[in-house]
Amino acid sequence: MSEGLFEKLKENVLQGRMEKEDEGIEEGYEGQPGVKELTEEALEKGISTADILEAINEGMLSVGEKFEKGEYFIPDMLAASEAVGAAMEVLEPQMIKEKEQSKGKVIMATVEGDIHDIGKNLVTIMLKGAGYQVKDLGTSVSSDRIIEEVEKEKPQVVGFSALLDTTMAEMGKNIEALKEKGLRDDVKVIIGGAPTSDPFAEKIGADGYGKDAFAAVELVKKLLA
Amino acid sequence: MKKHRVLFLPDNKEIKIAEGKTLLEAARKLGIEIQSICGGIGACGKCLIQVREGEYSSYDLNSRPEHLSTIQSMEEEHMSPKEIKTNYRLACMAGVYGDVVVHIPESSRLYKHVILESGRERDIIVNPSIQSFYVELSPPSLQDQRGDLERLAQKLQDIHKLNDLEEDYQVLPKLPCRVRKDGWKVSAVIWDDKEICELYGGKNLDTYGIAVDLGTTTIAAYLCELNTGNCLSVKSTLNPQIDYGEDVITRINYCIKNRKGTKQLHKAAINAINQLIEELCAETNINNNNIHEMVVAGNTIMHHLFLNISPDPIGHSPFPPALKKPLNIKARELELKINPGAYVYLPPLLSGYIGADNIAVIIAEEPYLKEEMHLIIDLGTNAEVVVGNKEKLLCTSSPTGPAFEGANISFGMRAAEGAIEKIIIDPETLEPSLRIIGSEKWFPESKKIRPRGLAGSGIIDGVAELRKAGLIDSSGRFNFSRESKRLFKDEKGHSQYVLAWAKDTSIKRDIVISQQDIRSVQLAKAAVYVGGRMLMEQLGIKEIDRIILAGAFGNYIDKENALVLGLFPDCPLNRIDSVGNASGDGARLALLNKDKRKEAEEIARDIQHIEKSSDPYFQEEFFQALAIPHAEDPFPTVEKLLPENNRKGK
Ligand code: B12
Repeated sequence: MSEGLFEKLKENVLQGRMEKEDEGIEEGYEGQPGVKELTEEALEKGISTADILEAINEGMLSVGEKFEKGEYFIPDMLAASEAVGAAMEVLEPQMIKEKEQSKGKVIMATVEGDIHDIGKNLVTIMLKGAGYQVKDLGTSVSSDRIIEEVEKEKPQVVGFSALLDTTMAEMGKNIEALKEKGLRDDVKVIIGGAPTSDPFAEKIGADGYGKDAFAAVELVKKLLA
Repeated sequence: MKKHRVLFLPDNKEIKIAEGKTLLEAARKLGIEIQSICGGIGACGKCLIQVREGEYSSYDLNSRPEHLSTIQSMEEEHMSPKEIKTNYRLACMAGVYGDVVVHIPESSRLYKHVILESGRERDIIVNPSIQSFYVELSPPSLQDQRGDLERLAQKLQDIHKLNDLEEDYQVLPKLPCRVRKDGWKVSAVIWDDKEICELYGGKNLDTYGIAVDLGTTTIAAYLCELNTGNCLSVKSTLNPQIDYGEDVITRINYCIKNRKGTKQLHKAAINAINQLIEELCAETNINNNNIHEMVVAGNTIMHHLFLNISPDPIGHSPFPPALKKPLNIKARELELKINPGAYVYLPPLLSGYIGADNIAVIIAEEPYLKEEMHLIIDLGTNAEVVVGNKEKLLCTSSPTGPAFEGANISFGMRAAEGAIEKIIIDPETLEPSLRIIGSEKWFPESKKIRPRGLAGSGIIDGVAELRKAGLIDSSGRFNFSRESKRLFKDEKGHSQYVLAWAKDTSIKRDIVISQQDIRSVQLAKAAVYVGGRMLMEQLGIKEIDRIILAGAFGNYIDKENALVLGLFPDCPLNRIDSVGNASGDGARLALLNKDKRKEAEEIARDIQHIEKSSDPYFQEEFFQALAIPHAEDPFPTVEKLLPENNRKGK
């Protein structure tokens, strides 16, 4: 892909701009083509979806770095992932034509007894943006429901979110339930949410912990590699 | 089981502790107070200590860093590279596997802090439920062989219209002796026109009561003379349950994880209150047996723990309390050191996260009697929010998190000596001036007291002043086009603004506001803002006539800066009142005027509790409220203070 277009895509993901009329996170972008227009342009020029996705991915990595340092905040992350969503919409028909398969299926749930879902929603959006198929089961999801969905949907990954010290223990229970049903070896389990941590993931026998939505994407990539 | 020795410096206190226990546990056992905001799970990084290396021959102790469990990556996240190299650890994560000498830096200690005890002046109508009645009985004779009790009851009925009185058991054993002691002249202490709970020989009309504001962080107790309504003394203390976790959820979790947890926390609260009772009585020279009633107002979890009721179910959605109704319980059942036959009144609860403390605030402020549309915020780790007037009241609880109490803030600390409580940043020079608790003058003009960290009010000021000076934009991001030597990125690329240079601080490190600190404040303030905003929407109103900030914290915060930050919806400054500890005032009102208890019970019945977790618009509202002051809502009162050159929030 032409260097210019590649850089522009990356930059506009970083600015969280879906389309022309959008403001950027920084000043002075309004009126210039956004991620949607740039993706269309790239397709017209015959650039492969893989290359386009690569540019978008690099943009997202920079967003992640900025988020990590606090330079970017939740609304910025959301804007960026929405911009990626806009690109995906443009790319989808092409991908179907090219018979590109979805990268994998993920089920996300806020554990039983917990009603916090903002973090889980962001993880869901980012995973979708990264090309995964995601089914979001909502909040206060029981282990029975999780088992049922894992049996039905056969995802490669299931992700649990908890924001309360008192509900994080549910994650361990869910893992036990998966084991009991003989499903544990079929799925990777990832966890996240403020009170959880790497040692906690290890303790309950999860396959990984992600401290934010970017880490969630990296984690899924790693686990499915 | 193997035991090892731990010596704490500079306290010079030593303990033998079982292998595998943490340094935090060791310190606690010795009564050394170390900050532990997260409840000892390695998340807050406040319990930083240093392990000394070497032979301490005068103690016959060989201290080695390897005598502790290996350092975990989550510990390192809270440390500078230098600290990692020089054997710093988090006390809560470091398990003891050999003898060690540990140095506790000043910045990790919990200090006795400033607690606001008195609220605003209020008119109090005195109509207590406890009254002492003096009666002169006719002695028995062969013609009049009534029992002593019947004789007393009849007299009380004849003279004071007290019918069908019951009695506390303690009255019975003393009865024959007391009525005869002073020639059949007695004083009967009657509760709520219903029960004789104490009997004195002779004339004794003095009755006393104690109102307790049982807070998650602090406990305040007011000793009042029930006849006059005078408050004779106020004492307060940190809630010792803090050792088990800073916020209510961590305490619930402690109870879930530890079989005896509820009992331990219950005991801690009762002991602390007994200690306060003792201090109150000592100061006023009043015998604790003359305290005939107590009112205790606390949030739902404090309420449950006070009663030794397991709070476990409140930790999970749908967060149900064990009960909500108002209670009267005998002091002896709770082992409170007041008159054993005295009643303890607990106002009703509204939900798992809106408790009697909030009801107390409402009966103190009485929005239900007023025309003006009120927004009442009781600011704490949880902010309880009430909106309404005499037509209707709505309430909700907003999970602020402990950011305003210093957790998740790099240099956050409680309001104690050395804490920065006020900040002004000159918009021209971009230089800060600081007010530090313990000093009357501004720093750096005066350097008599050196700063140690940031108190809650300082945190709000800091972020608001950065915004006014254009050092951050409305999204909260540092703006590097404003040049100042105080604004830079550290070696890890994290942006920060320096409030005080290391050479001027008592902790020998730069005291800064970091980009992450600003993010924590944004999350906290957005939760409060959305709480108020959603109740307003529910009532269909756009404006608030009066904002009331309750809670000790409210008294210290700068109202204008709170508006710049967008902590609550816009309102002219002269219509924002900080009323201090309104929950303590409400508890006192309930103690002195029994009609107030009726009001409390009516409110509990009528107020509408709004559940935000099921609101589909919450997320969007929350994101908009993250901007400083807000992405959409207007803030005419402080608009002129915000630099125009900043981009609009997204
Ligand atoms: C918003 C919020 C709410 C909203 C939730 C709305 C919603 N739809 O989610 C509401 C108001 C409903 C709410 C309610 C309660 N809350 Co609340 N809430 C918060 C708040 C302010 C922000 C949480 C948040 O959304 N953060 C932003 C997101 C983006 O971050 P995140 O969730 O951590 O997610 C990121 C990562 O963790 C990670 N991640 C998350 N999930 C996953 C999953 C996987 C698999 C991976 C890999 C990664 C990952 O990626 C995400 C994006 O980067 C925090 C306090 C704070 N300042 O943080 C309290 C907080 C979480 N709440 C708390 C509490 C106690 C409650 C209540 C139980 C009680 C109360 N009233 O305070 C109630 C519930 C009672 C009731 N009846 O409603 C406490 C928890 C304390 C503790 N020690 O456990 C907190 C910390 C506040 C406090 N008081 O200390 N809350």
